[in-house]
Amino acid sequence: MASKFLGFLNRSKGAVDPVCHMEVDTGKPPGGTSVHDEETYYFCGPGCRIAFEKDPVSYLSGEKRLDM
Amino acid sequence: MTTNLINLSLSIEGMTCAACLLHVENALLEVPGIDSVSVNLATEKAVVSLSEQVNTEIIANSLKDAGYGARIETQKVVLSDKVDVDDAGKFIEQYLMIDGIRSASIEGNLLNIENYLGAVQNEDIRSIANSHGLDVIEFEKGFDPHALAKESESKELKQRSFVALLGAASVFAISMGMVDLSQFNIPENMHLFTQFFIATPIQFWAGMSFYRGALSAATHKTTNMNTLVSIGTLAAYGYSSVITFFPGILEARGDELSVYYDTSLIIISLILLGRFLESKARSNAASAINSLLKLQPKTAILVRDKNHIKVPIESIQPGNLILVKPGETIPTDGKILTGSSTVDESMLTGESMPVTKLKNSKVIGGTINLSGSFEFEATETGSSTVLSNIVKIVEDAQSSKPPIQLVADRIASYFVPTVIIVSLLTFLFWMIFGPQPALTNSVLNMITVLVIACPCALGLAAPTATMASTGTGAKHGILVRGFEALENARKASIAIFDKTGTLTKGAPVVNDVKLLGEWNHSEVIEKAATVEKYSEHPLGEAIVNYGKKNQIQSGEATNFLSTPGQGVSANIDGSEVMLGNELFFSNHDVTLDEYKAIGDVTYGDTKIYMAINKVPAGIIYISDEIKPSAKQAIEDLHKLGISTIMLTGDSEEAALHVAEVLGIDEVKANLSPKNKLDFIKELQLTGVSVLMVGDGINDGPALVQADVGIALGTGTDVAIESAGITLASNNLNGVISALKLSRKTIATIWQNFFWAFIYNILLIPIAAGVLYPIFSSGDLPSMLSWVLSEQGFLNPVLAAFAMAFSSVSVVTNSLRLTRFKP
Repeated sequence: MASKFLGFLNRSKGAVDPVCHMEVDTGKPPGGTSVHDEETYYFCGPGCRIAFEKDPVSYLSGEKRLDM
Repeated sequence: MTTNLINLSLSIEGMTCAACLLHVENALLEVPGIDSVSVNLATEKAVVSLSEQVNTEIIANSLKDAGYGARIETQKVVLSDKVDVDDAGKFIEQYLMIDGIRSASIEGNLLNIENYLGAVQNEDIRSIANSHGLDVIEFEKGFDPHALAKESESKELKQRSFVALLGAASVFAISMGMVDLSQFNIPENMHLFTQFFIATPIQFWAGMSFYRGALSAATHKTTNMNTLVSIGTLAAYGYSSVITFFPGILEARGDELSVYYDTSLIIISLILLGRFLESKARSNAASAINSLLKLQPKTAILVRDKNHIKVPIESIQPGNLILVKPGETIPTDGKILTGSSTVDESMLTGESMPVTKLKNSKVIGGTINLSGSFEFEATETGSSTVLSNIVKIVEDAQSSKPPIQLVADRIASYFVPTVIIVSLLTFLFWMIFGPQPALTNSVLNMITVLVIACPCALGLAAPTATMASTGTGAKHGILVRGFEALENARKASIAIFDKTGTLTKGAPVVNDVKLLGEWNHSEVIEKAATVEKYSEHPLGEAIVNYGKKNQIQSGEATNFLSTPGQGVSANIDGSEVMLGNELFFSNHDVTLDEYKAIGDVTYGDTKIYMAINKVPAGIIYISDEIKPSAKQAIEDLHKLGISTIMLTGDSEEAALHVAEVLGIDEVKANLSPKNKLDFIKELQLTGVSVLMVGDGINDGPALVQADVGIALGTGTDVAIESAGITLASNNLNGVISALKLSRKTIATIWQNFFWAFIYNILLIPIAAGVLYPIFSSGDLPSMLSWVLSEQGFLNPVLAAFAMAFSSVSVVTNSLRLTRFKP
């Protein structure tokens, strides 16, 4: 509980898109969000989100990744 | 084996970042028949090369599967006549056979088509109409992707904020007793429930965006304005609901039942209102392509086998021979084969003097042909022309600009934790030191702090100021296209100016006349003006104007002869008068020694030599006239501590001359549009904020890249679309005014933030219960009973008042901007 509270004071802002690994604004993610295994993921664009939803495990394990 | 490649272009929706580009490319390449793909994020266009006929639907579906869409447009094609009833069926059928067209229907002489944007050429539509004996009069395209998306967002915000306002007003009226619910046969004990039932759906429908936003911020350990609003409104709502369903809690404290439903709705509606205003004021990422289209003529004259055929611009192919007459805009890039002329290239290259074009000279599409006629062979067309490339650079620069984080969000991220701490401290204090019922008091006070701390006017601070500022600016000829431009203008420490057309008027003017030989000033000018009267060259025009200005009458001349690129000559009363450059004179065996003997007084001018009967008569100096307002503007900028730099596509000589006269700190000449852009980029890397003033197409990329781009209203459309601020007039004082306006605007916004918070902050202690010790004995003076509860705790009415006062203060403060004087 204390760590969550202290978390409010921490001003880090970004999430990392699990497909393309770009930083995403959590306030307004351009690609929306997707929940997998009770974790919420943020996406830079619809393509990354759709790709993720088709095969979340591979992207999370690092097996698959969008080469930028 | 050669394959015939067909190109298909589509407009892609949904691409937000570089990764999207890859997804789209992959999706397209997966479709059999697609050979290669080129996707542009900035223009949102994809061009695919097909090695075989591919159904556009299949391509569209592949895109959809990947999460993107091929945009669809609706067109109304106006035909020259009504379609014959018997013909109609076949007519429609033929259109439906065109790949890319999804549906077609006829209404009298109107053909309604729905097709994939970019996939269907006007040519194809026209040819089918022609085959039925009909002409196409006009294509009315109805689709503008950017505008539509912005519009629906605006509409949604408008709806929500007004519904919330309505709800807030009703609940406020009820809770203040302005509306007597017993009139509606609602029993007394149901009054609170009525508020609950009205408030609940509105709160969650209108406020949902805040709650979602707060949640996502929270799971990533940040707080922003959404968090602030959510905490305030949910605390107010939650507290009120509990009181409504369990009135016993408050009674234990001896308080009357006071709820905050209206406070919560007021907060929601005001913040939504702020966002609505913001969305309307936000800058439109303007499409430079539109300005490009406006620049090009719609038709050109194709020369084929000695015939002149009028053709639409899109159908010009490299290798075609095109005829251009005086005054026309050159349709595309090419090389002159026959004829000669002078061309105004200033908006594209920045060259101040008209350029002579002879056989084998290159001409650039989009520039204006001045005096002569010529035929040229098209070398580049469509998207590979010089003009298109500049526009491409502009669009790329536009798409790479990151959006500005709202100041309000940053403030909120500091404010929220503070408020939470204060409320927790309040809770602890009352738990430890407070009278019974301790828990109730602690919770109630903590919640009250959370409610009162929410500054609803925060959402109005920036938008109202921006709106007032842009409105005022417009009245003074400063057209602002977005808040970012104003904010950055204030911080600028370097001002960059284009030369031709910006610092100068862009038209040649006679600067000086040096006499040689026995003729005096009037005689020389009279003869020069007389000869040049017959010339169509802008330099000649300058001489004629000079004559008029000096009230020297011009006479008549005969045997006027013009040698393009060299000079003119004519016969006046038996004397042969020649005007021209070195080449002209050496070709006519006139010695140049006497001319060269005169040293250059002002360098950078164009020199016109004059001779009468082959005897040197004088030299006329012509240059691009500097704007009168330029000197003052540069001085004022220096006074403000801003250094000045000139970037121009013109020659170094001309540039240095102007810079010296105006006192400009640094000069860079012979620059291409990309050079200007790169220069600004490099400056920005050193951490400086850059302001740029320009007017030409070649300024486009730089105007976009600059922190503040200011275009002159008299300039090209591309410049205006690239810049964040446009000055309605030619006068450079507008730059200083724009700077002053932006400083005032930013100051106003910070003042607004102050007003948004101050009332709420002052009330926080009261919410925390500091007045309790004073009034605990129950001796509340009747005057204060209206705003404080029995024991000195905060009454919700105070919260509503705080909201009202802060909002009124913010709006009034913003309106002060309307008194701005440049």
